[in-house]
Amino acid sequence: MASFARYLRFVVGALAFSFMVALSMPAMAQQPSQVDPAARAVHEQQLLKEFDRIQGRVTIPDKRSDVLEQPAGREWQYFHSVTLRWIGGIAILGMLAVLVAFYLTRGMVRIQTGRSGRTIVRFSGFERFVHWMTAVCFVILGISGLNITFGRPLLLPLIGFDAFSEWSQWAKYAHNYLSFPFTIGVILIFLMWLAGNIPNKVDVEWLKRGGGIVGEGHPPAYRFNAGQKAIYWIVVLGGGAVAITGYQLMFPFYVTNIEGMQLAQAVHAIVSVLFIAVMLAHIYIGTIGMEGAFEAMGEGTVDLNWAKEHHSLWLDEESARTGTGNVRHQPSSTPAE
Amino acid sequence: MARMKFLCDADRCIECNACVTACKNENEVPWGINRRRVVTINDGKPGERSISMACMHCTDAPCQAVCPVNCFYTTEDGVVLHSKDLCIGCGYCFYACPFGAPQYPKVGNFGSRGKMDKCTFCAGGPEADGSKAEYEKYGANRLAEGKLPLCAEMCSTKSLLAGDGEIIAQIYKERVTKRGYGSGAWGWKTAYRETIAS
Amino acid sequence: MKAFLLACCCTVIIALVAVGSLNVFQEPVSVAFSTSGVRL
Repeated sequence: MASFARYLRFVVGALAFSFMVALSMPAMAQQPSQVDPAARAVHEQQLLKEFDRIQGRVTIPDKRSDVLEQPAGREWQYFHSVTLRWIGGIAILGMLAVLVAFYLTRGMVRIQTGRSGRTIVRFSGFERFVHWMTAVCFVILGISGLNITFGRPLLLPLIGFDAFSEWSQWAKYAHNYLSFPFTIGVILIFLMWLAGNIPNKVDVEWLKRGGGIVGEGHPPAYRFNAGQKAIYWIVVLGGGAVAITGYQLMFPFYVTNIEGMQLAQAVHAIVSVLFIAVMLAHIYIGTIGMEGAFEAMGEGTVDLNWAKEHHSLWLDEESARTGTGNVRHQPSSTPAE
Repeated sequence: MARMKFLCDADRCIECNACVTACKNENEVPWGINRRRVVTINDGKPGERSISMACMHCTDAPCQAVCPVNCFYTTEDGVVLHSKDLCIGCGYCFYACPFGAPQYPKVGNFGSRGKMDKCTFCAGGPEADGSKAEYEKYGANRLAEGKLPLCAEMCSTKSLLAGDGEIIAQIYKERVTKRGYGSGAWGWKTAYRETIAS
Repeated sequence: MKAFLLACCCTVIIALVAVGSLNVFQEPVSVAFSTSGVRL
């Protein structure tokens, strides 16, 4: 009797169990629910349309990782790999082509009346020091910078991965640390030569006559002619722009977000390649482009006839200041002219 | 050949961070480096969404395209890897990455940000598969052992899927059909230039 | 010539000073992005 009761309990229990199991299988019993419990939640494409980047909250201490998605990254990459290379290539190669063509047609601008053998001081030792510090830095910064944009397609295939990475690593160190003497140089140039580089009516006249290099004769100029003033302002403004954006890049996300960093890099790159193109012209005219020009910055003195032809008003000012026009050697003057 | 992809089902992610923990443990990721992270949108508000994000191993990876020293490469499986030996730590891959995957050991960028580190789909790096050198630099190489990334394996709700792109897309589409809703595979359009019907 | 050589020297010196001072600044992420509680 007891065993039958046990048997009965067992069967009832088993039946009850399988009945409960059958009841708890909703997939068999019902259709899938059409209710979306997350209907009020945001969708990816909707967010991207509104903000062009999706940001949320993270528990990581680095809060900058809260940007989930920024598709603009692909656009920035296209700019750097394609657009920038075109701009840089056309600007720099174009300038080189123009300079070569110019030299082959116009040739070196000679001192028409020949050298007088007498010189006058044009740039003090301090001025030359600042110029050369800035210039040396610029050349190295330019080459190391161009390596970032053009190194991979042009140099990497020639020297291989390991050598190229090693060279690029050192180039990056040079680029980042030489930015400091370069920036100091630009600031000093700005302060030193500001007074002499304010545009005036003489510059308008000088420009109208093509500076003499494309036109005729020798339009008068003060210490700095219009072309030089253009270079001055390009150095100060362009140098300022690359310095500011460059430091932004060196201290990433310290003051801007990802959009700001991409913009900083774009500005830095475009200004730099145009800057390089302009400096090529400056180097040209200061070396092979014009007789008697280099010594102004190389030794600090220039031939009197050169001064008469190219900076007549400055020569008059200098003569009036010192009393004589035929000074062979002047003691070092104060830095600010 | 299988084309490996990641898919995070934003409707299932509960922000448990198991994926993050699994990745950090499996690859001995140093402090401060976040190969995988969980981002929560509208935290605390109705319709809160959490998504687990690491490298998506994009088609036409922008990081690979922009790298000045060309230190990236894409394997046959579509996994985007890079060489830490060639990396100069310039930081450009981070500006190009739509998902913020590259991580650097240094905060400032004077000289170098250090060697870039990122999710490798648990597929190591250029060194020999499973070697000590590979582990020290890039973490585990599970793919060479025939295993899938640990983040997806450890996902508590199976919201994070990793593996053959076609298979995980199929899994996700079946889920969406069965439950009747789906917010889409976040990041797929940007990474793989295709959508998943949701 | 003197100005040029002096300029080169100063360039190098300023760059080295920058190296020194910035390396003091530079924080590894393990320090920057972790709280003192977790550092061993």
